Amino acid sequence: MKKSDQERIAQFLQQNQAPKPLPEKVFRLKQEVRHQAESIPFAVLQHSSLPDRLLRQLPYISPWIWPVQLLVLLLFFLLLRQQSIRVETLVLLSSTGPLLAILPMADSIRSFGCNMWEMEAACRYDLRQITAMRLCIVGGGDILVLAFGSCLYGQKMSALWEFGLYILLPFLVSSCIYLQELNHFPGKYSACLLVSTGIGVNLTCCFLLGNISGRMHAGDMKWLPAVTGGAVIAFSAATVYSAVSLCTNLKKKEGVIKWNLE
Amino acid sequence: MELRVEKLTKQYGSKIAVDHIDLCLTRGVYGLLGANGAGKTTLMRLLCNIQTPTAGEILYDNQEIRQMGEKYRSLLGYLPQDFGYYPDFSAYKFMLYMSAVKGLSRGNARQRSLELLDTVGLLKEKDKKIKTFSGGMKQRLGIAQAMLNNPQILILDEPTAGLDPKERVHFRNLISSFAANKIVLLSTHIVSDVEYIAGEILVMKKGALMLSGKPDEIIRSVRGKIWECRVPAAVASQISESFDVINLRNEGEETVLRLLSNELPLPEAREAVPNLEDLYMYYFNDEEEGRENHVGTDKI
Repeated sequence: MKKSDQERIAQFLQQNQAPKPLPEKVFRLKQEVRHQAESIPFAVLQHSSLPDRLLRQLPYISPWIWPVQLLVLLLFFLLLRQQSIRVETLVLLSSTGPLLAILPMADSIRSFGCNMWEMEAACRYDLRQITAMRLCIVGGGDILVLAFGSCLYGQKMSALWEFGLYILLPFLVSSCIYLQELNHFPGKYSACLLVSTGIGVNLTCCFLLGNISGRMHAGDMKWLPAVTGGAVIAFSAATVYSAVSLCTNLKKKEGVIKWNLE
Repeated sequence: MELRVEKLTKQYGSKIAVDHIDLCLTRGVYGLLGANGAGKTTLMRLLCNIQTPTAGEILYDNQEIRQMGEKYRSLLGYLPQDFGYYPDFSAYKFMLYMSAVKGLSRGNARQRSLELLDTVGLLKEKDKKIKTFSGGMKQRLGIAQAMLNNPQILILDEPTAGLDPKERVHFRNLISSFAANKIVLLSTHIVSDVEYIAGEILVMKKGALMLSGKPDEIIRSVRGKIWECRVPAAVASQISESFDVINLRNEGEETVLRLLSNELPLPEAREAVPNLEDLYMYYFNDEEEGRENHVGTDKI
């Protein structure tokens, strides 16, 4: 636009001021705008995908969980990449199963331990969803660590079922037991119960696996690989079922909800 | 916008926490008064869909809130009586976390969190861990998180607990400014908080809704039962043992007593203009354990 045209427009606008709006029209417009704004939920996403929800929860997982998972990863890396792996090493590594399994549970019960459950239960993504997201995130981390371990193990030995027997099964059995405990015995001693169960499962697994490995050396238990495969599938299904039950039943746990009457 | 409660009941075994309550909440501020154990917190939890009622239903714009689920909770802001927090969280991180679970977008979460922290006077402390906060600061943070999603229904359970008088005034003004075109339900033992800002008062006792209405309407129920008298200080303690004393003020050698009585307690007593605190004392005086109900009994 030419400068002279711009000046003429500016002069025209100066000489011809826009009329002031009538007060009642201004009032009505403001009312209408306010009504429209208030009828829309404030900045709430109409739809949020599951990966997005999980990503939003990720920064709020307990910070100590990641170093524990990294430690197990490091252990796998140091011990499983050896050319020949002793049975004693595998029995030792079976302890990582209950340890990894307790991590998602510990994060899930934080809501009750820190008295956040009431506020979270009243949010858009309620306590069930928050618990499910935490189990998915930390459980997903566990699965990645185990997958890494199985890849390392699978490279050296063809008997991947041994990884299933010594590491996967203790992890799955522990997960099932922990989830059932949280489902049926909620309360302020959940953390203690989980830890003591973990120690018990760990000791039992070490004992049983030590015996099994002895008998395998003697040539017994040729059916073990098939049974291990079946057990891994069965306990995987049981773990998923227990996790779903826990999340579904959370609202029914009125025993943990404070009683209002004296 | 209407939140309707129909024959709402919550029972734990043989104990009835909420007893057949009928209620209709529209835009405005409602004050919920009641002694400990009256059922206020249970009612609030039911309204927030945290607990399942034994009987009855809660309808928002004629839709059952349990069926609405996420849609209803996205309209809700709630501050529970026992405010919890994750100890390793800072105030800002806590607000971002609550924004995430309330479904706010990332950008809006940051902006809204900072705005609300500024509103409640915690902006300078936003990066400090919550475990270092005083009780009043934690309460302010709790109020801020309740308002994150600009809720249509705001439910606050004892929101002014732990706040000093200046903070309580600030809070009252905050609620009043926020409450236009919203449903705000707040429970408190501090009667003055409710008296100044609530358009309607709900009085609960033993799970049931005893009274509901505008403050001056329900205060009328205790008219003729509140008395003031000026007695010698030496006699004041004797009178206090025989009558329910709402207030006792020493003025030199005399004591001014505010008494609760169905009939004239003393010849020198004069009828006083009742207020909300008097109403509270009248209806909840007998809730104190081991205390006899002196209203309308022995006279000196």
